[in-house]
Amino acid sequence: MFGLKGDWSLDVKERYFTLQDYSGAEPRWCTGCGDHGILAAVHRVCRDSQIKPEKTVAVSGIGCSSRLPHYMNTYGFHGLHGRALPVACGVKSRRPDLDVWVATGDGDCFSIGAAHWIHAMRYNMDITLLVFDNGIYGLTKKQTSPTTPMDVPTNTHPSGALLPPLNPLTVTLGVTNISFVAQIVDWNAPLRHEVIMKAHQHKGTSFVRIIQRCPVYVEAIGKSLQDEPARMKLLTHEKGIQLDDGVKRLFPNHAEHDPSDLHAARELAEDSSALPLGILYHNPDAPRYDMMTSVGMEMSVDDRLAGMNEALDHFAI
Amino acid sequence: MSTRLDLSKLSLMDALDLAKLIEMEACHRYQMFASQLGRSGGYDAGAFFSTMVENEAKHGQEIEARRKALFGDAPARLTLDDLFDVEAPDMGAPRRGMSTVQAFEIGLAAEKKAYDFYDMALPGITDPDVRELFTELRDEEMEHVDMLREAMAKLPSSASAEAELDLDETPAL
Repeated sequence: MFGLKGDWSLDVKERYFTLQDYSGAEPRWCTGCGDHGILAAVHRVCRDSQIKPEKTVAVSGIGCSSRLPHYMNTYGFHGLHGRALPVACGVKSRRPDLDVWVATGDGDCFSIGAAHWIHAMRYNMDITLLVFDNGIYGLTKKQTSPTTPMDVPTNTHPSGALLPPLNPLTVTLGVTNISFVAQIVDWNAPLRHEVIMKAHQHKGTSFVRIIQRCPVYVEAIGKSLQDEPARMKLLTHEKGIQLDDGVKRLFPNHAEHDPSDLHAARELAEDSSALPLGILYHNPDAPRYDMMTSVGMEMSVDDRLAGMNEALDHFAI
Repeated sequence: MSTRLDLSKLSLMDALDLAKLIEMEACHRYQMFASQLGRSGGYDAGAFFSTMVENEAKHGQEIEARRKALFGDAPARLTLDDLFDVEAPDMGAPRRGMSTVQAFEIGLAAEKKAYDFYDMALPGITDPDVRELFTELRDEEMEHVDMLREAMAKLPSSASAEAELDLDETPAL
């Protein structure tokens, strides 16, 4: 048969992917932007998990964060403002075999995309959702975003935002059927890696809010937290993330928090005295909408047509 | 700073390769910073980072020569993928318009970080040759800290000046 011997076999060597295999175009974020570190963490988690680049999709909306798909050597979709999650849910719904990442920002996700954020959290499809929260619209040069602190002057509010910032954690933790909620800062590499790794391993929508430095427009937001680590609280637990003592030493405040306790997670999120870092909530058993939408996907077109016709016949007169 | 390696099981060849990669990672990071900042004239932050590229590359080459003398062309078992931010400074550390002194502070923190890495690794290392190497490398990092401090002390007062940023300038995107 076509000149092949009877004992011929396709010997596919096991592939090992290096960081280079996940690296796309050269990042064009500003000097000192926290996004560089987040991208490095995503590449590392992909490498450590050995996910196939051709089975990976990075989806984004609009904003600085949303440049991420360009910097991934995977499939990507740089979508419309606020619409990263509907695209990602669509991808996951029709191609459940793909590893779907979403990169979005505080403007993209918490403002124009807020409705999609709420419902995507409830759908709980297997998506890793990274929100790069720098507290400002950076790409369009310093307009107030939903998470801009009140004392930070912006081009739209030169005397500072008029309303208190939205708390993305309390909002997310209030949505029905959520399964994974975490918060990190971009400048701590081991914490960043561990949480994004756990988020990626979780089967369901993993919401990770990343407090991200924007050194050009709102340097003070990140710098004040970096200079005052006592304003943050590291969440530790056997069911949470495991960090070595060298990392723990960087955070003077620790709290033992069981991520399966939703009530305690909400209390931590509401506590304005310290920013919780780590996994706030994790429920591996929450129902996933992508498990439901994928039912019957293996059926042939003929079988589907036959099934539809049979169903429609019930209404025939 | 991190590596995912079990340092206690390193052979001398692996340890030399790791040390070279640590320098190489730092060299690449400084290259990134120098490229991001460019040069605005004089010995500015960009120029400092370019100097650090040369320094880290030189240190890496010295380690590589030792490795070659001892183990020839035996293939390395470690790659840059095996470590992250050991001596390389935080990716978000530089700032547009930063002063030369601020750039030196980034370099100082990175050298101290490398010192801490070797210092913290030492108690877990049992191989006497690796132990001796790590002790030597740790002490070298402290020498680098001293060298940077000396160079910083000789900087003119203008080295503390930060450049004014024009926020209307088209951003990098």
